[in-house]
Amino acid sequence: MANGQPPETSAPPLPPLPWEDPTFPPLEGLYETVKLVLFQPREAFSRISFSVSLAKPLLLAVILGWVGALAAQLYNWVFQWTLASVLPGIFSRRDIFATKAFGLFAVVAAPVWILIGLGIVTVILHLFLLLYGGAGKGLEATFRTLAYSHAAQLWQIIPLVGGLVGLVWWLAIVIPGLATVHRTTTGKAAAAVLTPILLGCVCLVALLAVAGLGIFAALRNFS
Amino acid sequence: MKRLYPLALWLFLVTGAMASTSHWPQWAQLLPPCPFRELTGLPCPTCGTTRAALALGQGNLGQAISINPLAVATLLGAAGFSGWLAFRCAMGRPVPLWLRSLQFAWPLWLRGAVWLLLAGNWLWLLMAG
Repeated sequence: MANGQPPETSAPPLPPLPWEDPTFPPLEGLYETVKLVLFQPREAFSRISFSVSLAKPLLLAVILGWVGALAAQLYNWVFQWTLASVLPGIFSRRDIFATKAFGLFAVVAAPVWILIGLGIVTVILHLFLLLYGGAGKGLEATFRTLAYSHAAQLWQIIPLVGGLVGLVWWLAIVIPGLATVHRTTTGKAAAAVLTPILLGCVCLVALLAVAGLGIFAALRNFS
Repeated sequence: MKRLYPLALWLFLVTGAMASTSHWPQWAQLLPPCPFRELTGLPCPTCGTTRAALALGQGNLGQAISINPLAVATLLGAAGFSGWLAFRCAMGRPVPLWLRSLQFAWPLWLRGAVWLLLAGNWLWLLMAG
């Protein structure tokens, strides 16, 4: 006060995310966290706790990703069924069976794919954050942010355009989310997220999907 | 016992990948074409990764390198590096400090070197068509 400056006041610590708060019932915590992540991403990601077990965000990602995968698959079946009713003979019985079997496999195995996908995307985005000089915190910070950003998967419940809405919403929450968690600029976070998408890391993800299929085949052989 | 889990997982994944190499070409056919290439007619920086992996699976290292050198280096490097880490863990040794620090801000020279590698590899792909 001697130099006329107001005394420094430390901001009160932010409460943890409801999902990470043990006083919240699990379902209420899930609902409140999803609402916060979807509509107030900066606040949500500034409340992420690094002392909570990684299993918490991982479980949330699996739950929300599974709901999204289930919704997308249901719409896929309904769409095919409607098309087959309107235009009989458009799909062979084999096509319909293959779609149903593949869809069922995709839904049942969704948690595994979600975990593999989360790991791959975390590594790729963290690498680009490092390359743009925006990784203020470690890999764990990127992992937690991406796990919570699975809230955008819930938009898959919108028929037909759910996937596109989910993707746009994911970008809208993950960019400020990474900027908040890593304490970097939105520009660097946006560059880190958009560069791999624009440059086509799709191919790399596809290759890793093949590797995943290999693991499944190995599992089948070993069982 | 827990410290052996990463090594067991690594061995399982590597064995699984090597045991299923004959199926890779069939699975690769299920993959969509590269959207970047479809859109622009030019290869993306990761184009050829699948073909390089297929060549690698058949033991054609030279062919794999000619398709996408950085992808081959990344695949082999990731497999070797994760194996080394899993082995260290099994021996009860912690992750080295220098490695831990790599997940935070990289020095400018390292960032520049990686960007150069990515750009050089892309140039290779563009020239190869």
